[in-house]
Amino acid sequence: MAMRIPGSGHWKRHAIWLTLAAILVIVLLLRLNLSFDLSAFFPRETSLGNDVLLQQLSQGPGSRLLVIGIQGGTNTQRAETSRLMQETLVADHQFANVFNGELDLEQVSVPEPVKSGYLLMADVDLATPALAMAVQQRLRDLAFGGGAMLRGIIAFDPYLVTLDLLQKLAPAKMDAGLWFATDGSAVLLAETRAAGVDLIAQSQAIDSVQRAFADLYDAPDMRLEITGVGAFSVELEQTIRAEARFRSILASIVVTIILLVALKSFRLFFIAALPAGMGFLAGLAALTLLFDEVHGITLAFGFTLLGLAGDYPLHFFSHARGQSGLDAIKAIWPTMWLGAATTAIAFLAMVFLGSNGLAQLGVFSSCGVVVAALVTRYWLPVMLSVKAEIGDLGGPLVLPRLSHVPAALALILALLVIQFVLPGGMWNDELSALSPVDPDRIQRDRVLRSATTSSDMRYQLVLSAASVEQLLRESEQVDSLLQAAVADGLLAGWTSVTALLPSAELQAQRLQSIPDAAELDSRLQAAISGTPFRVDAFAPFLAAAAAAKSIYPIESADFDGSPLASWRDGHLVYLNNHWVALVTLLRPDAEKLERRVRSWPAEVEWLDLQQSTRSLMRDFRREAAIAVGTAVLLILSLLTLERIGLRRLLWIASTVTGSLAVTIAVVVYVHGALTLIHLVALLLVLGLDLDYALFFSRADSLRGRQATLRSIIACAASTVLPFFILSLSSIPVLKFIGLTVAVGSCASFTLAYFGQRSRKAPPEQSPATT
Amino acid sequence: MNSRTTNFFVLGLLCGWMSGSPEASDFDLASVLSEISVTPPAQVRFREERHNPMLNDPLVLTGFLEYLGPGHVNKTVESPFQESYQIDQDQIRVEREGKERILSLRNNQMMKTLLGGIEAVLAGDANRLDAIFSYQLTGNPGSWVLELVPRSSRVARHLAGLRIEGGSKTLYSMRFNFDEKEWQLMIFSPPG
Repeated sequence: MAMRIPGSGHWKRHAIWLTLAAILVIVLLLRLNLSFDLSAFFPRETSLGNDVLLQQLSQGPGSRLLVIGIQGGTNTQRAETSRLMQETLVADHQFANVFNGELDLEQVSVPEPVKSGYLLMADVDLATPALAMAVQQRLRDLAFGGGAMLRGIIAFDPYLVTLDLLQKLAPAKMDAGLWFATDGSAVLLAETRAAGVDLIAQSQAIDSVQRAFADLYDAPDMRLEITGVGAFSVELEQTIRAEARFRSILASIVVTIILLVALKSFRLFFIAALPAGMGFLAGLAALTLLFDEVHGITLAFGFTLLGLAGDYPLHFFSHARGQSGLDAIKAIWPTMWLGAATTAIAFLAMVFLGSNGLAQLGVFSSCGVVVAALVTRYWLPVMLSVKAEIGDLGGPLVLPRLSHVPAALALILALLVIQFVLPGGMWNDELSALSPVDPDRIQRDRVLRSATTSSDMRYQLVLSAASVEQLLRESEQVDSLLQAAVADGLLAGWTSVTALLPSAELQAQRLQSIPDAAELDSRLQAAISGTPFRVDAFAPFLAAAAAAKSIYPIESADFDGSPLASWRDGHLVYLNNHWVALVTLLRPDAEKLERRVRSWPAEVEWLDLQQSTRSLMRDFRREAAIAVGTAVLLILSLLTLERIGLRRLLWIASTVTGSLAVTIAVVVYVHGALTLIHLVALLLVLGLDLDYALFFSRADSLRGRQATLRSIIACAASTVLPFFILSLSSIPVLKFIGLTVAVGSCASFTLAYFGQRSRKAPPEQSPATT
Repeated sequence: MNSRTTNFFVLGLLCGWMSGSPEASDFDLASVLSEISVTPPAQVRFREERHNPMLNDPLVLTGFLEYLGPGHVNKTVESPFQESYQIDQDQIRVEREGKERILSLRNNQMMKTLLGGIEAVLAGDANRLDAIFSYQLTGNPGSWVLELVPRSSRVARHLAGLRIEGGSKTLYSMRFNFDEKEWQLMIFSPPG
């Protein structure tokens, strides 16, 4: 086929499109902000419990933990390396806390504001008899131990309230020695000061861990392993960059070859790239305008437009034989427009799936498809005119003979396979299934993490209130209810934010019970009389009591920057304009305690994390089904409005259904179950199905139909191959999308092709051209 | 009593043995340790002075120590109050005013280092002691002084060093220097 670029008569239109492209590029340069936050692909909203769950997953203290595993060598070598790494990393300002299971009591210091405000944080009996008893106990402690740290603590806190408090707040399992995972790895937890999603800081923290390991031990068979949200995010960024680069290049080469073979012209090849290129730019620019950050996965997904948006110029070129570009596009535009509109509707369904990441994919893809179609319609025709080499495509328009048999057979076969061959359920409702992190890495994270926690975090109580003070007062009421539950044997204990931050009301009561300086000094002197203690031995205690008035009230913000900040963040969060308290339960009798909690007058939500994640995913899937169902109805309405005819409408519907059923059967067989990512990819398949079915079923001349077949073969090849390349990716999300679309595209083409036959006789009436 | 204080106790607990062993021909660490090493079970009385800047006068404790074998030591304080401590490998059982409390020794590197070091003294294991402390031995077999400094800088932050005095196959005293303001001196005498 020989085509030429037309003269300069269309320069105005070129200028308009080029200006648009320039504007899009400027928008991207100014606003594009990439993110690799894993939680973007988790669902938004639902219940308070679920909001808390997601908040903790994405921003909670757990998201700032790097889990470090040390493997190889002997037990002694791993233990020694663990200790030395803990010592090195704890001195590194990038880490707020570093734990390895050993709580080195000599390293513990009492942080502010606990040190200054402990008399407001706990009930302390300051009467002379209690004070005398405390002093006697401390004398025995001095006979037992020694050192500057013990002296310091006793001097300002003769009751040792601060130590009891810190022991209460210490992470679980801190009294059983070094942490070792079931596979023998020594395990450390390093809490970064930076958020888990701050990739630059996380990357630097990981570098520090690796350097510390390399500097400390050079046993050749020892290995370091780092997991956790921060590590996964950094790896994901690197993997996405590498995968996107490698697979984009590979897919581009494959698509280039297919297009060059189909178009037989470099010039046309470059023109054919314009719709996809403009679609990519427009989709990305739309994202930067609508969202604060664009997720890396969305960008990686962007090149899928190569497969779909690349279809439009192929349809156009195939039909632009023997007629001008403008005439050709006018002939196929109704069908192309319908295909683009229905595909855009299908993609837009993703916007309503309740996840920011998926919403971005929806906006990006639908915007890209529409812009690609518009570029094909309004720019490409003025770029070329055509000289017929294989004859024109004119002649009488013929409606093809449409058969439901292939689609029906495919549907029955797929249903039989799903029903009888595939084991288990069709849906995977685990939240982790949405994670783009390799399941093996997540499993390793679990193995290492299991060495560090003893308390079951599955059950939690959630309270919320408009203000912190109100929340703390309610939490204190719940504390007394829980105390009774402990006495009744319903649980072993609990941790609540009130252990660290009592309500201002309770603090005020404690403040009032502190006598004035002279009175307290008099009580103290009476308490130490007859002991070897110096009269000024407890001067720091008197100073702390005097200072309590100026410290009152201790507020949440007072813990900012303190080592206790992460503990606070795990128990007190600000969410959806409300303050939320999380109460963790130790060894609860879940069934009985849940019943008890539901009978309380206080408004407390019982949160079962395991149940919650599953119901979250089920809700998510239900919403997805509604969104997809709505999209299908909209598409059917659009097709009806376009008056394509009932027979053609039914054929399109059966072909699309058959193709989707086959795709689902194959995908479930290969990947075990469907996730939401597969559902998203099925929307893309739906778009392809509609596109192929619309073109195959339109009325056309015989040569026009040959052109259609050629263009659809090129379209299918340029979709299947790049998506097949994608299906080999190590990133689950890309792998899921790749296989689904590759299989779906094959099934779409096969069913649409075998479901229609050309008629020889021309129709009596001029058919619709859509 | 708090678990924090357990570490310091063990310093004093495991060090007071007086016993005899075959005389070594050379005067070095191995020969000194060989002379004072004991065979469990063994018992010794102690008088302990605790010098602490919080106190007007040193706190004086008396009582006895029992060495029951590697990792097993009992310390009984008889005056000025009654209290007993039983070390059993990684934990210590404290009995105070009729109440019993078990504390873990695992979370304390200083404690573990000391236990290892002092057991090396009791067992006469010079190599093990050398691995944990740097040492200086002065004097002669009739009267010697062994100065020990923890090799671990982490432990050394809380325990400046030990000074062990002995002679003629007998351990006389042990002084633990926590810092320049605080130290304790244990003087040993035979049981009975």
